[in-house]
This record gives sequence, C-alpha cells and structure tokens, in this order.
Amino acid sequence: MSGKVIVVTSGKGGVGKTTTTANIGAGLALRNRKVVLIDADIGLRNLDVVMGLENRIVFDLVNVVEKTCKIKQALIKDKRFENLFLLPAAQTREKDSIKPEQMKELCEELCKEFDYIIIDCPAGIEQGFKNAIAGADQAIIITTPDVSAVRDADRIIGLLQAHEIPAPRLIVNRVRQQMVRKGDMMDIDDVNDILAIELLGVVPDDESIIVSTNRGEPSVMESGTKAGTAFRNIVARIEGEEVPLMSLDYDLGIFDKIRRFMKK
Amino acid sequence: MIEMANLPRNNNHIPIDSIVFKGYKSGLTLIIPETGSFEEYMDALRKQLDQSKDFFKGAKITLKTGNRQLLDEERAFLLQLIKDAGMSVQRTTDDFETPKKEKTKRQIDQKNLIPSITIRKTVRSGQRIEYEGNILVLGDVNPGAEIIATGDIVVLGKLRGTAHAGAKGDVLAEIYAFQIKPVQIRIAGVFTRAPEKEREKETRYFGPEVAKIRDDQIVVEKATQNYFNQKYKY
Repeated sequence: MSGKVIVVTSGKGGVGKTTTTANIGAGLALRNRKVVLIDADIGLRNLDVVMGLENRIVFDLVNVVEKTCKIKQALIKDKRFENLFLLPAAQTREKDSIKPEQMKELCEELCKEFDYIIIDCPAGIEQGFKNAIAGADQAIIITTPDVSAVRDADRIIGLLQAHEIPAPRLIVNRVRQQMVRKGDMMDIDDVNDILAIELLGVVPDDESIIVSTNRGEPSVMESGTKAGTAFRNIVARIEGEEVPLMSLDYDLGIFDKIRRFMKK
Repeated sequence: MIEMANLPRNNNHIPIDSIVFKGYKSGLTLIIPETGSFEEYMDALRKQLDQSKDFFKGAKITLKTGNRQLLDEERAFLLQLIKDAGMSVQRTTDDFETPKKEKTKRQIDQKNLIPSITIRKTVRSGQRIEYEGNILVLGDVNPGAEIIATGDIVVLGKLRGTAHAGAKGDVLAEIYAFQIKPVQIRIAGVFTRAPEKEREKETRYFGPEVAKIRDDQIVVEKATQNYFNQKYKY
C-alpha cells in the first residue's frame, strides 16, 4: 500500500492550516484510514496543541531526521482513534535544522505504512515551506476570503507549479455569509476567479473552533458544529466522494427569512 | 535562340559523359553538374541530345540543379535546348532553401515584425516576466505579478497585476487586455493606477481594452473590433 502525501499550505499565516490539518487527519482516521500528521513548523509548533497531544512529546521531527531516534519512537498515537499518529515539530530548533531531501526520504518511508501523510506547512515561502513541500505529491491551499490571503495563496500556487507539484485544491476558510451578502467580504467566486484552482471545500467562520482548539479536540469529532460538518464533507471529497457544497445561509435573521418567503 | 557568345566563360572542361539523365519512378531527371563551365556543359548536352534525338522526344523531365545557381540567361538557354530536343520540363528541384525570413521581409516591412514572447499560462503573484520585444499572455495577470516589455503587452485575460510597456522609453507602446484593472500600469516613463471608484454596473463595458499615452497621461479605452484595422492599416 502506498500512501498519499498531502501538504496543507497557504502562504499567509493564521488562515487555518493547522486547524485544517488536525481536522482532516482526524476525519480520515474516523473513516478507518491509517493517518500520520507531520508538523513541519519547526520552532513554532502548534499541531500538537491543537490535537491535545503536547504532553506526550518525547522525540520530534528533527530527532528523527538527525537519527537520534527511530521514526516509531517519535510517532505519538492518538488514543481516541484507531490509526492516527502525530510526528511533532521541534520547538527549540529552527527551520534550517532539516533539509528538503530529508523530508522527502521521511515521507517515502512513511508511505509504506500509512494511507495518508498530512504535512502542516509553516507560513511563508522560505526554508520551512521548501521543506514541507519536498515530500508532497498533492497540495491543499487554505485561504480566507480577503485580498491579502488571496494574494499570498496565489504566490504559493505559482511556487507549487514551479516545484512541479500537481494542481493544488482550495479550501476557503472562515467565510461569513452575512458579510458576503452585504458585499463586505469576498465571494467564493471572487476568490477563485484569481486563484483558478479546483475548490475542495468552504468552511464557515465558527466560534466552536476556538473552543475545540483550546480543548485539543478537533471539530470533526463532534457533530452539530458548522465547521465540523464542513470538514467532514472535505474529508469525504478527499476520499473521492461527490459532496455538494454546504449551504451557508443558515445564519439568516428573522427578517431575511420573511423577505425570502415573500419573494417566493 | 540565345547567342552562345553572351554566356560567361570559365575553363573547366566538361567531358561528354557528364551528361546525366537518371530514371526515377516519377520520370526522367536531368542532373545539372554543380560545378564547371556552363557553356561547355551546354555543348556536351546538345551533342548528346543530337545523338539520341528520337529517344528523348516527347519526354517530360525534371531538372535537378542541386547547389548550382543558374543565371537567368543560362536557365533560358538550357530550357530552349531542351525544348528543341522535343522535351519539356515538368519541374525543377534545387538543394538550397529560401530562408523564410527573406520571404516575410518581402511581404511585410521590417518595422512591423517585432520579436515576441508568449506565456501560455496565467501569471501569478510574485512572478515577473521581462522581455525585449512584445509580450503576449494567454491567461490572466494576477495582482502581485509583473510584466515588463520594451514593446507592447497583450493579455488575453484580465490584467490585474503590474504591466510596464515601452520599458525603454517607447511612448507609443500600448497595453491590451480583455479587462484592465491593474495594480499599476506604466508606459515608458508614465505611471498610473486604476481609478478609485468602480465603474457603474450599467455602463460597464465588457470587452477588450487598451491603455496608451495621450497628452502625457495614460488613458484606457475600448479596443473594439476595428481598433487594429484602423490603427495599423497602412
């Protein structure tokens, strides 16, 4: 069995790469896939916190690459799932502690054991980014619907093209449908008019993410949250299912509802 | 009949057996020697044809001149000789190519043939294309991308990045795109940016636009179907 290596990247910081990595990973694991998450943000690691696994870190990515320990020793098994593992980043080292070739080798090794290897890419376009994409054979771009993030995402898409990674797919995160309707926020079509890549999913802005992040419990684990549902749909699409985009109009106020009713 | 005396002379002697007729599927081919005196060749050829008059009568032959360039008088003389022998030439082949450049030069004058580079994809943020000549983009130019040409710029898509035409000072350079909504446009030394207000939805023109300098300012206008025909007709 050969695994798929997916890098989750964005260019801009704070748009939801780590949250998405955690949720996609957990979502795939809920479908009985063997998944390993790699935090490639050396020096500013966060994936462990978001997964609630920070207390169990003994060895990290840099240890593995420097051969201080075996891969198995560094992998942390998430006890809530059948087959979900985390390879955390180092917190006290820097991005130049590993080289792209080393990442590539590591991914090839992990491909033998796992169905999915998901890499949480750091923000930026320098060494950290180059390391994170080195072993990838697919990419997911995360952006929020605002001009800065889209500009950065566009840059990243250009760089992925130059590194010959096949066409990435897009997740538009933190969409506020009310604002879109008022014209205060970019529409998905506006975003993809510039980025022009396949849309993988849309995740609405949801307060429950703040809660789940702080608790270390990825949203996909519980039902009933909008973001959780969106991520579950994204996971289904990654697995090849055709899932229509969620309607984001649930936050209509009473007057909007009446108005709509009248229009019919 | 052209006087033999008018033909240029040189001193290589042509033996009579250098008259070469080759039989191919397509018919008989007369292979003209690539070097040597044309006059002497004509002598030898005439003698050969006289000897075998009836053999050649009515034949349609191919003339192969190889690398030899025949002068107009030489060619005329040869054709006459062939005709006198009752043969006709169905075609001529040679071994030198007419350089294509020469052909286009004769059809269009030099100043309207400009080297160009074509980019067959959308140019994304952070990418920069510079070229001495014209630049053609088959795709969009996204915000954050830069296109710099000494000549014109043509974007078969939306120009939303930065474009600099006439980069070496050509104020007549222009920028064309399906939609011009740039971060910045520059022509020669003049800079400008898109107007602050969005155009009214009703008067919004959805068609090719051109940016050019008029009265020391950059203006963006419609480039309708007849734009080039009118501009460059002569």
